Amino acid sequence: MTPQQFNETILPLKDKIFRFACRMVEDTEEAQDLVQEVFLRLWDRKEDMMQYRSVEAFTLTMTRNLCIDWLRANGRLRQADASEMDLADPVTPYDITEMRDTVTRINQLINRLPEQQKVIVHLRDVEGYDFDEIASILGLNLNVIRVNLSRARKKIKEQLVKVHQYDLQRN
Amino acid sequence: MTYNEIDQLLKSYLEGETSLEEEKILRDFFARGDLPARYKPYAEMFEGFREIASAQMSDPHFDKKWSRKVKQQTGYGKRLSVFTHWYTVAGIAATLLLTVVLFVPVKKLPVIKQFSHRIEDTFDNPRQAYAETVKALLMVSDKFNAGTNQMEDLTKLDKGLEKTGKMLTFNKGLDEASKLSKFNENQLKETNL
Repeated sequence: MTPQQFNETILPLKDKIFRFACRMVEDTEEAQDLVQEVFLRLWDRKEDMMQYRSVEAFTLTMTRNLCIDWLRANGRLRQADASEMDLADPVTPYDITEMRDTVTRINQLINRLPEQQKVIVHLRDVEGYDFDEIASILGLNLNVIRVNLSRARKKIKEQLVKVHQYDLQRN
Repeated sequence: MTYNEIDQLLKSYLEGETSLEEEKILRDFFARGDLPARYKPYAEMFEGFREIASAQMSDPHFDKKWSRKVKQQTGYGKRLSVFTHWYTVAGIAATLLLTVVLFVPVKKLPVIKQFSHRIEDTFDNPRQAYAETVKALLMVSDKFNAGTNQMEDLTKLDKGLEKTGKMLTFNKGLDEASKLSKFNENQLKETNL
């Protein structure tokens, strides 16, 4: 990959990388630094980048790995098998109505999901990747992706239904 | 699209079974303003996803900074290519000149032709002419040497480097000497006995 190809293919991915890093580390400042780091590493590997089927998937996989390293180094890495954590962090409708704007609410609801669900719902519902791309980014099989996505969507929807009922009762 | 169809799509959506196209239909539907109250949670959900997807890096100079970095990192290569380009040009020019000099008789060269009528002998005596020529050439060679004098410092550096080469043999000597200490130990043991 020549420097020009790098600028044309990789540079436009910066916001996607940034959003993904934000999702992973839940810290905007840190996410910006991680994007820089991702770019430096991609630059170092630009020669062998063409061999990957999807440069974009490769880029996001690298972002994910760097974020995991950062979370581990900062003692903030959640357990990978988090299916039991579904009820660990209950959100009350009151909590959510306190978050006035929609973006903050949905962001919070996604971030409170178990790790895998959180990442999958981000890649699908926010970024619009198909299942094959998500599978190649996360190294998971399609069924795991579907199941986790379904759980994540149901949970977000249930919380929002509660909030709207609460809002209706209050008014 | 009827509410019934939307409800069906929503059901598949929650099961993770909708295609990207079907999800687009849902997004477009929930972006409409006039929706029954039961759809409000979904409308908020899809609106949230859409807005989150438009978040950008807050560093507006990232592109510029990165492009500069890319240029800097490739700058060396570019400079080199400019130099090689000039080497090529100079090479071609030198070859052309050499061809002209080698294959065109001196008297036919346009420059020489132009001035040939003006070239006259300034000396009557060939010996004197020869001596004057030698004198002139010596002067030229003297000026040349003035430039090469600086190069002598380099030979000093060479000499210095040669000396460091001798350090290697010194090292060998030290290795040999370390064997002596073992010999000494053995000697001491023997005397103690």
